[in-house]
Amino acid sequence: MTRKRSFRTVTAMSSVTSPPTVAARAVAATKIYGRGDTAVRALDGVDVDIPAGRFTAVMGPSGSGKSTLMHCMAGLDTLTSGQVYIGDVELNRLSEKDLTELRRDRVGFVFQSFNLVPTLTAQENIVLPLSLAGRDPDQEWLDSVIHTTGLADRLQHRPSELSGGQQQRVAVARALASRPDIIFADEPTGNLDSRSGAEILDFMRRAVREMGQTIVMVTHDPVAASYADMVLFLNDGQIVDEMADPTPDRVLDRMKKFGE
Amino acid sequence: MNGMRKVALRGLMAHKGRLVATFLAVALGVAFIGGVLTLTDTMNRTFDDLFADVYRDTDAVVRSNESISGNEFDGGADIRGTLPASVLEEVRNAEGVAAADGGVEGYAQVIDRDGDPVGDPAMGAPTFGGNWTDIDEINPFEIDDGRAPRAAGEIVIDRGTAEDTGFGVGDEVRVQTRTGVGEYTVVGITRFGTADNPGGASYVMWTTEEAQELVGEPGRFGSVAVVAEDGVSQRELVRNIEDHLESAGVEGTEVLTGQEITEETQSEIKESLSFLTTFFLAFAVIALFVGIFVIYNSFSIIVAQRTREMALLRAIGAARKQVRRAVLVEAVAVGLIGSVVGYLLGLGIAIGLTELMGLPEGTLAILPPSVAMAVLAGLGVTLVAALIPARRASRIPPLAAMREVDVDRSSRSLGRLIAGLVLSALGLVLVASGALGDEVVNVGAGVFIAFIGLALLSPALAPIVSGVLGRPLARLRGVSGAVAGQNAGRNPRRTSAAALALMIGVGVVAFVLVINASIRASIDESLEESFSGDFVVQSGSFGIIGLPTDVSERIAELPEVAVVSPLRMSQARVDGEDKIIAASNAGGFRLLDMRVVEASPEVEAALESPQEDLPRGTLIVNTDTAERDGLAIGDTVETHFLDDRRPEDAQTLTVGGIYEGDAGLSLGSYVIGLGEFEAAVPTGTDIQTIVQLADGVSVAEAEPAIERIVDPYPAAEVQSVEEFKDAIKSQLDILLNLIWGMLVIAIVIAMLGIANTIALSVLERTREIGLLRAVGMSRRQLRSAIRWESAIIAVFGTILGLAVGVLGGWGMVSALGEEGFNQFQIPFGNLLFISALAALMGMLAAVLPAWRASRLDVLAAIEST
Repeated sequence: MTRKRSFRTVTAMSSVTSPPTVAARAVAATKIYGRGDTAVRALDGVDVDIPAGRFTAVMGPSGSGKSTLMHCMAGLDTLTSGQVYIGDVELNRLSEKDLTELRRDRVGFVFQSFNLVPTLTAQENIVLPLSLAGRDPDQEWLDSVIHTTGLADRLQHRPSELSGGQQQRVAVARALASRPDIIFADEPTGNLDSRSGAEILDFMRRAVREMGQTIVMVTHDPVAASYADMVLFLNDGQIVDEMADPTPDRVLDRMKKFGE
Repeated sequence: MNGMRKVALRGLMAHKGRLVATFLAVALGVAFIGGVLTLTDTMNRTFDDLFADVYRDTDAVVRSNESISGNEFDGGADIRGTLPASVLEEVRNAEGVAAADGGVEGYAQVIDRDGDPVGDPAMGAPTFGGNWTDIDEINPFEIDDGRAPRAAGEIVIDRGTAEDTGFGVGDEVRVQTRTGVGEYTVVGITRFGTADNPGGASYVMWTTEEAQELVGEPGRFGSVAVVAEDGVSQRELVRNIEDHLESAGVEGTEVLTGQEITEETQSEIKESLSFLTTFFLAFAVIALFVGIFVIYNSFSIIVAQRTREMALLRAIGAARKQVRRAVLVEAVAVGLIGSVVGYLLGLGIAIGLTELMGLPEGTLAILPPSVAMAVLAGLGVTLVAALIPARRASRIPPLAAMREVDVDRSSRSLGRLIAGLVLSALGLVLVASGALGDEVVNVGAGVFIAFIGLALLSPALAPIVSGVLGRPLARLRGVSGAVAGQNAGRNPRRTSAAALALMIGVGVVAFVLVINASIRASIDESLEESFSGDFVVQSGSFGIIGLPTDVSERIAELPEVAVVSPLRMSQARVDGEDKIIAASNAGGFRLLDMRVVEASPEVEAALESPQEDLPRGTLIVNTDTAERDGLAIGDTVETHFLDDRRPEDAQTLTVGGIYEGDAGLSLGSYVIGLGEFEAAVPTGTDIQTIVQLADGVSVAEAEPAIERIVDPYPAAEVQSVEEFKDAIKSQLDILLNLIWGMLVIAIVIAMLGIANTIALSVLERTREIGLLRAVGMSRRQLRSAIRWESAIIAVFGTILGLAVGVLGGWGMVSALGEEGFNQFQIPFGNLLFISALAALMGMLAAVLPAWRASRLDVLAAIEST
């Protein structure tokens, strides 16, 4: 843990507004879909801290609320009650415009599929959030991100000319490019074969360990979760467990309990 | 099939929103067609009724059997000879004639209390003067107030004119006629059946003698109207009159039944109105044509978006034919609804136009053939436009249901590219050959072929142009600009179909603008070079009303004036063919810079002094005519005017000169002296008089003196050279305004198409938009990207349109170089304005789709399929 912190210091995150230890936080986060008899509690008072500079996996059976939690924490969806913070910014209080800017400047995203704008080249996709902000990329940082993806020779290709694994790597690179406070990844390997998936997971782990990034990944795959530093387990809209230094077997065992 | 129809109609209901643009495009096009057809029907019926009324109790009409057509002069109307009063006496003596009277009709215009002429015969309804007849059966007017004119100096005026001017019985009213302006006492107000006047035309009526003197010719009638005795049929009456006239030795007449003259007049009116309706129909057809592209695009996109659904239908056993029909059933439904709604809109347009044109009020004529034509046109266009998309839908393989849907596959077909290139090149060559070889037909064909070629090429051009336009945009607008450029280029077929709709409208307008600018430049240039007068006295209303000849004579007497050249014109028969003969004096040749290249000694002598008239018995022709007819100095040519007063042998003229007229300014093919003209047509008037001042006299010094002479004629105008130029050019303004009107229609429909394309594209790109928004694109940036995408499509269409329009304009101007287009000019200002307008309209078209896109829920958009 202390080793990872030192990485973070070395890469000098902009941390004036966000305390170094907690990248994102949910307090009594509750999300209810529908009303009356058909109301569904997707999140039921979740309290969670996402530690900075770590790779956190969120697991749970389908319908457990893991995606909802991620969407709400990322500012893509709003809570019914409770608060979520990115750093010390409370998202509920933000206007649509400020939320957009927060997503652009302080959050990175990797989705399960359809991550890239098909009309833009890999390079353009990677710098998209920066371009949207009208900012010049930090070239040194960008070079190191691209180097880590191993896609230096594919930068001028369009997404349709890249394999699924390559596309996801570009997506991770895009998420990293603006050096966000936190990256949310929603089943990033869900559509990939196991070898490509392993590449992405390895890449994300390196981004955390070597570049000091913070990643939260939603997954239902115990193998994917095992790449994380810590796994949070959700069930019925509540955090029910957490596991440090997970292995696939341990995660699988824990998941089996949900079926009982 | 029943099942498939259900699928089609359910599909229609499920995607109503997507078909709004199609519906509007059909409705707008049909609205114009329906409106124009209804207007035509209404006008025809109005005038049919009118003339049926006029001739209701007329059983026969006697008139001169001589007429000369005016295919290029005086609005193309035929003119007809007159009858001596003796014919009336003979007709009255014929068997079976209960009553007969002669009619006189000509130009007369009431001058209102402010000194302005009432009505404008060049632009609106004609202004007539005539004689009052006491025979009720042949007089369509009746006295509404006061009494009929009985003595010289008394007139009756129609109720409409009375109301416009406030004149009533007892008022002294000034009236301009061929002989000048006189003052008359209003003794009565007339009505025309239940109307104030016939079709908006104003009428002043005198006693027969005075009418002959002022608007006709003393001792002559335009025609004689006859009422039959009871029991005598129209046919019998005509035969009786013919027999009687023959036995009395009267020649040069023809006799028509009341029925025949009614039908003839009705069909003449129809013909004279047909120019107008053809023009409006051309608008409507362009509107529908533009609509085809809009409809085609809507259906293409809808089919593309429903690929999976179609594939599923195929997978579960629907035949290709069934899928194709399902799409066509949708088209029929939309086309039918659009056509019906459009037709109803068209009725509104027809009402508006009848009011705009000042037609007498009445109910619209709604005739089944017109209704059918309008609705079928809309339906047909929709079906034709949907054919290709329907075929495409039927080719979707069942397997596509299982696949990710790909985007545009077939945009880069090599065959299409080659065909496009070949046709574009062919069109270009044709236009160029037409331009250089003065072949207008080649130019037209070339433009058409180039249009098709460009249409085929446009999918290939779309990404290129989008790229070119997108690059500076990316620099200016950042990611929004880049995304806009990319998106405009990513569906080349779709972009090009949307752009083509705009291309047509812009092309037509650019074409007309180039021609307009070139004509104006040509007028300036030829006036600059060849016109050496200082003033032009215009008789008013483009020469329909002439000025009495003494006006120019009095101007000539002014000390400030050096040369005065009046100009007269008439339809005449030249060697048996109907032509126009102009008359002027020697000064006319000098002031208009018509160089006489060959001349007989007498003509040469006459041309020495500008105020000299051309010698009698002499004809001067221009070089083209001399060449065409093989005429040389000394050759003889037969000339004959209506009611020609020259003895038979004096109608043969000798060619005394051949002139090289500047194409822009000339007196035309045949020119005679004023004396010759007067001898043939004593009632002639000056259409225009050119004045050159004496040395050392300034324009400012001379103007008041000339104005004083022209002042009594309110329709006439003294124009300086600059005003003269403007007056000539202003004749183009009417055309130009109509063209701008057309631009608006075409752009509106094209914009519907672009809006539709954008809206459907946005729909298709929902996930992508969600992604962009998720990674931080603001709503404003997103809206901007969509608006710019739309603007790029619009500008692309405009560029194509400008290319074709300017090409066609150049070809036409060059091909018509001989006819007076010696200048080719591109109106850069106007064309730039159109481009800016199109870009702006493009952005406007995208406002709604952009707004909707920016309101999409980010999460829902990303998770949509």
